[in-house]
Amino acid sequence: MSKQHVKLSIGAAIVVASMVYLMFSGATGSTMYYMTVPELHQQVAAMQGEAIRVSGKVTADPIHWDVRNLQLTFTMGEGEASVPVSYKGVKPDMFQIGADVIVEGQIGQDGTLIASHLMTSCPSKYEEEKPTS
Amino acid sequence: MNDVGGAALQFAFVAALYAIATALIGVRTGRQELIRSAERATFGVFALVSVAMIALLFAILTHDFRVQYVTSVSNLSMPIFYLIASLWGGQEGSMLLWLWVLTLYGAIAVAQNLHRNRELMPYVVPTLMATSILFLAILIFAENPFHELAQAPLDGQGLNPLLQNPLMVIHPPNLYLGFVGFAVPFSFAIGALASGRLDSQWIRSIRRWTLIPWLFLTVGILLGGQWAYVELGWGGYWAWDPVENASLLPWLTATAFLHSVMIQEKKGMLKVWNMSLVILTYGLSIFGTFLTRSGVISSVHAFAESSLGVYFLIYLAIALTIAVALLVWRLPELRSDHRLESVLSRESSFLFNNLFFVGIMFSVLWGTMFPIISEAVRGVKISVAAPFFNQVNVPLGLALLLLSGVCPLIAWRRGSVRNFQRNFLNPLVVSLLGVAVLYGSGIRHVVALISLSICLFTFSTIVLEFYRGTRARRASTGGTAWQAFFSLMTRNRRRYGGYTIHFGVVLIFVGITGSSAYKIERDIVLDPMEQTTVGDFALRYETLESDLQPTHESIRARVEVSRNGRYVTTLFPERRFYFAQNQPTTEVALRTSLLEDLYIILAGFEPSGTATFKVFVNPLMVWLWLGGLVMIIGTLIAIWPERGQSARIGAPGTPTTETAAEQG
Amino acid sequence: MNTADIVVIVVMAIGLVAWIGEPVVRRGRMQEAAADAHDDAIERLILQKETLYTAIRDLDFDHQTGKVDAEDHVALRRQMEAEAADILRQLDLADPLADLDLVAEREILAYRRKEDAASEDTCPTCGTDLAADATYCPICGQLLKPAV
Repeated sequence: MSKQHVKLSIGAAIVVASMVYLMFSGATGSTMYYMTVPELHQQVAAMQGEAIRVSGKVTADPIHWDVRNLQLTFTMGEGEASVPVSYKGVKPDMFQIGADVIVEGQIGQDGTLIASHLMTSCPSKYEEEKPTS
Repeated sequence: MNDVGGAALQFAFVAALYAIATALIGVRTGRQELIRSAERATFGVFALVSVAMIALLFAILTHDFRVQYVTSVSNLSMPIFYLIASLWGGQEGSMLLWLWVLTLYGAIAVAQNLHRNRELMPYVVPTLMATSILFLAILIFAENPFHELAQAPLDGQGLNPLLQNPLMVIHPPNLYLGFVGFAVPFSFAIGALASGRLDSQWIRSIRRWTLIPWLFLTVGILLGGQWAYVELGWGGYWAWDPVENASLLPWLTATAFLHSVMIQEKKGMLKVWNMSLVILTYGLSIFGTFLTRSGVISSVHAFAESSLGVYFLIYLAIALTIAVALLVWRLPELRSDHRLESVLSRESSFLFNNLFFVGIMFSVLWGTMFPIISEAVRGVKISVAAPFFNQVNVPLGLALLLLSGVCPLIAWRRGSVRNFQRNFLNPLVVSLLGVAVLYGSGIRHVVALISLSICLFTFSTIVLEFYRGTRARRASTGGTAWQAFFSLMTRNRRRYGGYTIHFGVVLIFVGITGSSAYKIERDIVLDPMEQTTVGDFALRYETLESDLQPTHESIRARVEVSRNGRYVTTLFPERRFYFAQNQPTTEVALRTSLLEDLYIILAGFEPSGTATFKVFVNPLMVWLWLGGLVMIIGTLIAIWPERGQSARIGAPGTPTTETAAEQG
Repeated sequence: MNTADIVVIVVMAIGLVAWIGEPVVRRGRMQEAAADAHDDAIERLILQKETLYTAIRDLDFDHQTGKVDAEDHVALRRQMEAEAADILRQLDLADPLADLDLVAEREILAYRRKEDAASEDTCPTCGTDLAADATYCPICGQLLKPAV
């Protein structure tokens, strides 16, 4: 290997090493457990304080939407399991009973999921319309 | 017509299989007529898929609600513009459009090479047809767009109102034109590997075939961002959503390829690397389609439900295995013609550029796939959020931007340190001065300062490149500076088109920096005629107005905007309720200026007239879109055929004068 | 399924078979393969030649815009010219049409002559090699002769 190649390889190795470092340090800082409502239901206590991302459906339980304070409370469930959710922010357009939602946040003291993000299934996925009415 | 459409797809399936078989038999037995027949089959497949497209469009336009697809995406009240758009507004239709674009590209590629690259074509045709078969199989066996309902409803459900936006009408076709286009370079790569014609000729044949899909993909990504910005109403344009990442992944490797291919053309180096990038780009574009279709990432249960995922995975596994096997088989023949002469050379700066692009690609892929990887390794699904992507990609992106500024300062083959230092000095001074000015004007955000200084540096090297080139050109040919500038551009469209693209990228970075570092976000509750301030803006909420349309009811708030006591504009953030879909939508009110965007959403309202708003001020936002525009212009400059290129090779007489002029 | 649809489908099938089958049935003009192979070899050489010419032009341009030193420029250029000459010789052997090569030969000669002529003039200010008819020094911008 020529001297030029050695220099180049050293440079490349430094770049790759710093990229790997960035990826691992970035990953440890921003991970969250990704689970369904039944999975969460089994280990609510264990998950307290952890960052979690939960997917499920909006149940038929009453939805409270406080326009003044942008406070949205509803119940998210799947099958038998369900978890109350409290979210501060704008109610997404697709949010309604039966909608698929993904919630990011933490379990609070009373077992309520305090959501920092609330996402409804994205229409760009062209999911088939659920028959309404 | 529906039966005709269905039959056309089935015939296309048979014709595609026929093309694969005859092309391979033809090349084995040396029977040219079989290869010709296979090529004709590719035209046939294109014609048949076009028939299927027309049949589906016909069904939509005539409101044939017997067809399930028509029922799910359209209804009687939709205007014709969105009726046409609903052709790709649902799963089946968008797959059909994907396939149609693919067969169109395939037909053009075959037509272009009826007398060229003859040794490659017997492998190019089967590769293209194999991709078509994947989509044909899905459309025939899993997601038939012509599937008929037992009983036709009176009216359809209509297109999702969020998709009823002109941006969303052109965004999907754009992405497909990009995604699908990489099938052509891939098939030429396979052709080169299989036939053993591994010189740089195939690379030249696909030069434009990579740039065009790249352009469409770039436009598609930008349009997607803009759609998210104006339609989804969360004030941002990019959320590192798996669907967004899926479109970014092949873009990154394609961009890397566009750079490194120059080294292969000029020096005959990096052959294996380029081949791998082409294969990777194709793999990622299929993988991206798989991600967006199967819902494997976003929704936990979609994998079991969706039959599509399996098709994609099987196909992807087969295609990649064949490609990698061919590559390994030809490894001994893919040695470099030359060696790297110096670390300080443009070649090596391109190597680092590639390293960064692939690194970014890998980190995005890693982050996107993290839930699946962690489930396989540790048994728990762990996802990574936007901070991960930002933390990794902001430094890498900035390094790449810096590299795009440094790279033009270094000569091909062997740069000298002395020259490099001299060329480095002016841009460095400009960027340091700029940072001092920014710091003086009160900007303390460290990342923003770093980013803007790199933007300035890169911008000044680009200006310097144009200036030096023009001067050199003028010294040799005379004339005015403008003449010299234009002759410089037309003589080397690829180089200066490339610099123009880099300029667009600089603008995009400026936009991203401003809008992420200095974003203001406020939730406000206002009674009618009440006033508040956000940033420099004074907002006065006047009244709520309502309006009844055939498809929806709209409620909009009248908000008067002023700054420093002077009236600026009146904005109307709006909420609509679509009857057919039983769904509300948010219509963003936006005021754009070169300095910042004011972005208002009507989040909700009470019967009393009290309304809740979400207000964003996004500084420098418009530069992102302008940068995209500049990138498009730059790409068009680079794609445009060079005049006199062919004349210079063969025609007697011209070369001497050409070279004399060039030489100066 | 109505009759019109059936007719369209049948027509479509017949058309497809006829279109695809035609080359197999009429295999008359299929001697192109042999001729192509020879053309390919020449095309490959022309391609290499073109690549080298581009490289030479790039080198000159890098020199003019002050990225390559004068010594490096001369050395690299000589090396590339030698490679180009070699390719032209091969092209001579491969190509029956010699006059096309004469043109190419002239091309290279013109390069050489230009190069020689160029190195006689140097900029009075910075010492850069100049083209014979240069009005300005491409490196430092020194005006060399009064503008006409």
